[in-house]
Amino acid sequence: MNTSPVVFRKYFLKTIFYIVIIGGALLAILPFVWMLSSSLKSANEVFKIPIQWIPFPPRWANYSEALSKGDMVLYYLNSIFVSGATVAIRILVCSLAGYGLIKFQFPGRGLIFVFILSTLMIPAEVILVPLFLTVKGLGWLDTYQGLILPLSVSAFGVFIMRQHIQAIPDDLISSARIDGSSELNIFFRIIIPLSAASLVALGIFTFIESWDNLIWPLVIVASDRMKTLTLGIAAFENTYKTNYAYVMAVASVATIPIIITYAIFQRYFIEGITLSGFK
Amino acid sequence: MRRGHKTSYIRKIGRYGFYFVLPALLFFLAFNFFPMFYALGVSLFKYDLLTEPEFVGLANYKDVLTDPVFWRSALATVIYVFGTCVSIWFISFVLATMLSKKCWGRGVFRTIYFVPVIMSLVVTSIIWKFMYHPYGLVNSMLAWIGLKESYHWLTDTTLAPIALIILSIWKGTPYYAVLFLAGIENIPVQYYEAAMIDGVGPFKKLIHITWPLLKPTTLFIIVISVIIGLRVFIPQEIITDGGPGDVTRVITLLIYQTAFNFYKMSRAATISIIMFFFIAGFSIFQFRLFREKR
Repeated sequence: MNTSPVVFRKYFLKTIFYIVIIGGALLAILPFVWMLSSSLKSANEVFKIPIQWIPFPPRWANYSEALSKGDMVLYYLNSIFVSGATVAIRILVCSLAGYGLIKFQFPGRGLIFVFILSTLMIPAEVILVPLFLTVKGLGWLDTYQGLILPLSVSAFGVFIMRQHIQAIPDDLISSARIDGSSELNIFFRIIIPLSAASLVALGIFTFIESWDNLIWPLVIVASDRMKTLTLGIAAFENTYKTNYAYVMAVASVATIPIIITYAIFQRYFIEGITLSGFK
Repeated sequence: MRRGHKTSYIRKIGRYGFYFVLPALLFFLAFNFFPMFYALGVSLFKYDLLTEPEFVGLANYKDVLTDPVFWRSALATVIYVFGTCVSIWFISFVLATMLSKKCWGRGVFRTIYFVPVIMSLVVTSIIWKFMYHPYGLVNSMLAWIGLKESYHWLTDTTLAPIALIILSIWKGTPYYAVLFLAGIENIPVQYYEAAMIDGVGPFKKLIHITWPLLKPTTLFIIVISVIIGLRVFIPQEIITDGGPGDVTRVITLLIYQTAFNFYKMSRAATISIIMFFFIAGFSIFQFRLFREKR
């Protein structure tokens, strides 16, 4: 009886569905797998056809040899510091502003909000040259503050925090005020804990954005010791172009910690990214 | 009397609101507005970091707008944005629909599909550059399905823009799929249940329920994907460096090279201002979408 056309059609569609969804998933991770696999090959195995997905024997030495060629560890630390500081400044400044804009009344409030939102129209690429000249004027070229501060605050962050803080009941704030809490105390003891979820999401979103920035470090950084990871990898690729296994080993070192973090905090990652959509 | 007291109290408290906004305001003034007007100013001068700036009026604009290099760059940008965005809208919508279905291993699929989004675009570009090597993964997979020609993806003027578009589709699709997915999951199930009771087919469900209710999400995705597309820099810089010839020299790369390889600051600022007006049109749209949500 199972061969009736309706049942057949159902199973047929189901099979197609799984073929497409599994095929797509393979495509999605193929470059990642290819990177890992190539990072363990010897120079003459890299372009061998048919492709050897699991190199045997794996050449682990690629990693130690590649990493000894540059200051990757330093670039890593630079990136962690720059992205970490960007996240800290952004979530603090944006939640302060979001709170100020939604829970207080002061003249010009609406205008300030529109002013802040209008900076969405000015992406960093558009003001690259004047931003560079500004930072140069401040004497911040090749410094951490030059790398961090200009890109640390975003209109989008203010918008999101304002949106989320709106949901915190006014009564909570006014009763704290009646109890004699200072305004800053209210902010740190009530507003921050109650918007923790969106702060984490905004933080992850910001971290990814900052971690992957190339154009700004490219413009600002002059000395080797200030290089971020993206800059370091791009430079490494430029120098060791033909040694694909080395380049892929460095790329793996840059990627694996991110993938592991993602695997653990997956929900927050997806939330952080979806944040930019309608909520 | 009481009322008056209350207003003055609110006003007094209100001042703190302004203090809270102040740090953000200073950041925006210093790093967004000031540079924007600075750019406008610089674009009216002849300035190359070495000699004294000299006021030249709109001469820079005339130079840029009559320069074929600028127009080729604009064309490369339009081709990139169009090719990437249109494909992404369709593929990400289909992917979102598939991921919204209850199926075996849905969570696993969602995790895997999201990997391209969290991978760094710099690293991704380096991997794809290697994959596009004449003996790389892309050609060997094409050979596997019967296309045995050795394509020179990155040195062929037709294939190079396509190669970068494919990479961007790979990288961007899951991001927009997640946005679509959030939109789809916000649609109340009751609509679909009612449609099922009325015996409505899946295609009609798509046209009459999913599509109209997803309109705000779709609009948002169209606008931000175009803006993100216009700002693209990393793949072009790392993989092709604008080449072969200048078929992949998108506008941001042109600005970067003009300013920092040729030190023509005022020319780069001029291109930036032109790009600003290009982006502004889309951004005003995005801005209105944001404001509607107030």
